[in-house]
Formats: sequence, structure tokens, C-alpha cells
Amino acid sequence: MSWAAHEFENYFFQKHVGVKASFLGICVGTFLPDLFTKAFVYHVHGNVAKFHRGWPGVGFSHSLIFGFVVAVLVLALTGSRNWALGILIGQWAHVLTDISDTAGVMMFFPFSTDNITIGMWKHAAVEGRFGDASAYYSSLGGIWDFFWFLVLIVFARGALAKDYFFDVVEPADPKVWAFFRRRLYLSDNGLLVLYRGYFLYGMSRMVAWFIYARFKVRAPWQPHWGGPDFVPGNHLNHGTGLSITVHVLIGGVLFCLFVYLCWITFVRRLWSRGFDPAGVVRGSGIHAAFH
Amino acid sequence: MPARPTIQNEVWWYGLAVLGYIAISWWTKALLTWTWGPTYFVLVLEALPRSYRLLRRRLDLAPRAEQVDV
Repeated sequence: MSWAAHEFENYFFQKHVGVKASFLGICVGTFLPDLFTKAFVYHVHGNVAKFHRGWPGVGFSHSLIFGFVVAVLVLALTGSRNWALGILIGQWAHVLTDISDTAGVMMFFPFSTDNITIGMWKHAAVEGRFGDASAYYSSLGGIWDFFWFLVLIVFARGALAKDYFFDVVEPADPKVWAFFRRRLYLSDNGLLVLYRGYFLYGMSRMVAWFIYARFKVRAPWQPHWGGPDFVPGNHLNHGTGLSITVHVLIGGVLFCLFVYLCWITFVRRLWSRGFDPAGVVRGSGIHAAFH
Repeated sequence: MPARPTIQNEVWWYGLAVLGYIAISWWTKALLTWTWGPTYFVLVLEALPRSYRLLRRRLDLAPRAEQVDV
């Protein structure tokens, strides 16, 4: 799984959606896959990777359909298009990022229970929280976090600016930020700090865990594909490469068909009944969400 | 239009907060969670400076220029 990358990518996507999605929704969407599962993963005995990403287990939380269902539920219950889109974008970003470890994700669950993975670094939850951190920041996982940090700084640093928050982020979600202002007694600066908080947290944990891995436990530095070697391997798929590819392709087609059928039967009606904050102008297709 | 934040030298203040987080995390291992992380930054970058300004105002130690709502 990715660590700080999940924090950095929120701001990258925020820069590209502007007022068309809620930043808080994107954050909630990013949290969703691990929100109710990560705490248990470190205490599971047996095949931890299968419990976290496979089936039977809680691997459905890392599927595209999970984000789609939650987004549709939010749209149905609240009518907020910004929140529905934010949750969808955040959850799908988390799923796509997590294909990078050896456990991968069941992207097209339930239409396919095969895990899609590129195996860049080892899924190391079996080592416990601190062992997982040591392994992640001794492998290409830590490089991945730093890559997303650079992507944010180069392509989306404007999203961290004060004016951007007050001109774009707050107007995209006025009710929730106003709630924070009232209930948490936050000033303008407090809201700005809360907004920037996940970037600061991501940057701090990236540095802190890297220092821990290098200087506290002195784990071997092994930034090669599929590392680190001191963590046992985990492969959740069974069958040949061809059979897995066929299953995944069929699952992908069925998933797209499912989403299309949901759209034409009831989601389009929910969307048309939804509301946008003032100032949001939606285009068609991909421009309904992105610039 | 909301008032813009006026904390001066905020880059170095943010930098100190980040260093403080890393240092406290090293010793406690308790801050490296997604709930405590942002909470810490809101405390350090908002609650503490605001409390300090309020305390100065209450003790009437703040210069006249700072006698504004916190």
C-alpha cells in the first residue's frame, strides 16, 4: 500500500477539479479503502495480504465498485454532486495507486476476484505497523511517495496557496467549512491550516518514517523492483498469466457495463436532481469533474 | 470576503511545526497516524498562536496594534 502518496495525490486532483468536487470528499474517498480495515490488518494472523486485498476478506474496499456505490449513496442521501465526485475520485485514486504493491487490488470485484498488481514493492503488512513502515521506506515505495511529493510541488503547488483555498476550495464546499468554523471555532487561518494539514502530515510522516527505517532500525536499503528482499513475498492470484488476464478483462467489461446500466436506470436521475454550490459550471463528460 | 490570515513568517513557522512533528514522532511513535497528524498541525499552527495572542491581550501585554479580535 502507499503511505504519504495518498495524502499528496489529494491536492494534485484538487488542482485539476477546482470547484467541481469537494476536497474533503476527495480526502474521505482516499481514506475509505483503509478506514475500517487497516487497523485490523496489523493484527490478523495468517495470510494478511489476502485479508487486506483479497476475497474472502476486506479486499472489496479496494475495488472500483466500492467507491462507485458509496459515491452514489452520498449523491442519493445528500444531493451533493461535489461530495459524490470527490469521494469517487479519491477512492479510485487510492485503488489505482495500490496496484503498485505485490498484493494489488481486486479492481473489478465482484466481476473478477483476481488482483491487479505491478509488484513494484512488497505488501509488508504481515510485518506489523513498524515493520511495514521499515519495509516501505526501504523500497521503491518510499521513492513512490517522494515522486508524488515532487508531482505535487511541480504541477499543483498552487493548490496549497492561501488565495486558492479561499477562492476555490472553500466555495466548493461552503457548508462543511462553515461547520468547522462554527463547531471547532476555527478562524480563517485555522481553516487554512486544516486544509494544508494533510499535506504537512504526509510530508512529515514520509520524512519521519524514512529516518526511522534508515537510522533507527537500519533496515537494508533495497529500492529495486519487488523489494525489499527481507519481507516474504505474497501473491494472491492463482492460475496462468493468460487466464488471469482474461478474467480481469472480462471483469473490466462487466464492471463498465454495470456502471453504464446504473447510470441510465437511476444514477442519471439522481445526478440531475443533485445540486452544485454557487459558481460551479459543469461541462459534459470528463469536464463535468475536471477542468 | 473573509479576512486573510496575517501570521507573519509563516514558512519558517510551518517548517518548525514539521520539524517538531518529526521529532515528537521519533520519540513517541504516537503521532504517525492520520488522526493525530493533522490535529497536531491545527494545534501548533492555529490553537497555540491564537491562545498566546489571547493570553497577551487578557494580561494587557499586547501592543495597541494587536488589540484586535483573535
